[in-house]
Amino acid sequence: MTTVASERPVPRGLLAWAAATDHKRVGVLTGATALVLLLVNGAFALVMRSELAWPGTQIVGLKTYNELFTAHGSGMIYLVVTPLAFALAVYFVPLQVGAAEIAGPRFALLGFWLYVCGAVAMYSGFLTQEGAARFGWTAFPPLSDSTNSPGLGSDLWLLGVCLAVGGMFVLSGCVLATIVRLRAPGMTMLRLPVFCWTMVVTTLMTLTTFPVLIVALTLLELDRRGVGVFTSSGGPAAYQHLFWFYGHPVVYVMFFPFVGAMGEVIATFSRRRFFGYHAFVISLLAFAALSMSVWAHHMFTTGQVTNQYFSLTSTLIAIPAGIEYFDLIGTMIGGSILFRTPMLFAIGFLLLFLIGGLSGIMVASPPIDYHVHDSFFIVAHFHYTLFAGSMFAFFAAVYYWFPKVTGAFLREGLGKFHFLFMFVGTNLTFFPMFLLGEKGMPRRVGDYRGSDGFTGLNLISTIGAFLTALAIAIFVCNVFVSLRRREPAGADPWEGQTLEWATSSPPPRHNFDALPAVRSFAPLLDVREGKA
Amino acid sequence: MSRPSVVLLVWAGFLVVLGLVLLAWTRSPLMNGLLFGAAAGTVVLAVVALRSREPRRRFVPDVSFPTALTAVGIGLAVTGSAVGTWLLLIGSGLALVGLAGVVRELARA
Repeated sequence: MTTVASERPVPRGLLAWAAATDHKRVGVLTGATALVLLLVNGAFALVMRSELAWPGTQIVGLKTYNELFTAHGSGMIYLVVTPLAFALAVYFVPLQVGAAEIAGPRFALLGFWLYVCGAVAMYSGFLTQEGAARFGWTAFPPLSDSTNSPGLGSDLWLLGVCLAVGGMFVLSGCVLATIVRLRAPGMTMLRLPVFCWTMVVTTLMTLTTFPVLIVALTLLELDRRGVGVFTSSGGPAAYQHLFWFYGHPVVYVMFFPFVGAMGEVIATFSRRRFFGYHAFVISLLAFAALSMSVWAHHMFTTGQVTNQYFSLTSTLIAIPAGIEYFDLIGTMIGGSILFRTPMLFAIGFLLLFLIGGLSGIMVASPPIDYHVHDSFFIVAHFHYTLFAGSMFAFFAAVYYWFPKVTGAFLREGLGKFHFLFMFVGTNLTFFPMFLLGEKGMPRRVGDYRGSDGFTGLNLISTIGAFLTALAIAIFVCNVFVSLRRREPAGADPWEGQTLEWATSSPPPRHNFDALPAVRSFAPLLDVREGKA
Repeated sequence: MSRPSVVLLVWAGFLVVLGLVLLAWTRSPLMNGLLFGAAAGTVVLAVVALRSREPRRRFVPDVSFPTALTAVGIGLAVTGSAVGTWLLLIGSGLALVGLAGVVRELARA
């Protein structure tokens, strides 16, 4: 159903924000919450990196270290990167398809609050007598059963994840329904902007895999209460299948939206129409489907899966991924590129995600995976995809869309410092981890011996982590400075190509006063080129 | 590909093909069930998209406290299942009050 504008003035105040049905407010709330949790989980990472800088236990004990890496890993995946992707989608998909509202605005609000409740439940484990969960973000049984991980903190973690993931599930339903039902006249599926297409496949993966995780964790919670679900000989492997059926697609849930945002940024700052649109769309669908069929490559070393199939599908992913890279780079070729902060982050994303992607192809090969499984090599690989990839793309999107959301620019100078420190810090932090993993340092350990030869690389990695933290601090300062001393941005400060730039900054309650004709996936570029 | 339901069916088709290839290696009900289950779920979504009618215009208030209350109630009830019956009951009560408020909002729309 569509919604009708209220005649009353837009309500103000904290409570009015907390219960807002406007998709833009829900998007801002989700994004702001996720950013605060990014700072919290980043602080956990700094404590862990400080602990690992030298051999021995200096700052936290091993039990606390286990709690921290569980909170950091699960927090970043369930509470930060996935919600950041949906925050962008909830805000911008209705605008990009020319809708006055999101489909199911109450459901969107419900999804946000379920996510907040999940976050509170997960972290409240730290306040319990036995402490927070300490079995990693995967919660594999039997490590996570009530014998090996007793205490309320683990139960709260399991239920909190169910709530947070449930919230994202609800938000994704709203986003898909908006694309399916509320597109403006002329906006056919093959005229959807690139970001919206990435959200189509993201929501499909969310809707088909997130319920599987909720079921798995609910069964695990029942297990902890003595029901005996995963206690048989094949139980732990069955849990891993259920978990990774969510756990691998979610990597792409945290990737595709940012690739879509990159497509918008690169096309806008290259002053060119997106290159290879149809190939991009087909490769996205194939990519998303393949990503649903690779989950058991996380289980090569269990001996419980057909390695040939999962190695084949994992390697095949390089083809659609290559097409998407080719499209992004092809958009830049021949363009008059503007090296503004969003574009710098976009180029950083292209370079760094390549390292994450190529190391992923390496571990898709079972012999290599046997060698590096559960080592720091894997930690390096997924941080290059999730931090060096998704977070760089997220910051590109923030610098790009901040003027639309607030009506003011972020400071360009501070943005470039932010990029520089983050690029150097990220590589200093994560590249040594490849070498540590290759040398045999296992992941999820809070200590090592001086004679292991890991000290130098760990120290470099820790220095890099603090440099990255400095970059994030610069970003936070930039936001505050830019909001206090505003440099006003007009409706279309970048000469954007998609419909969100056809309305004021920030957009009015029901988004548009008038819409241009939609004849392609870049309607504003059509207007500028006289094609509409 | 110009219609959403076709897009969903194409994606479901990809999943079916991948599921059939997996069948050549293993008959594990769990592994095959996950892939074919996802395909079936997508087909259901495609049917829903195909049958969806022209959206009906409806008033939605700018703020909906009952919706937020419902979510917080659900959150407390779920958490209460581990913490204790008292929290479960408080959460369930809040969720019910919230739901009643949503129903009232819908009736007034």
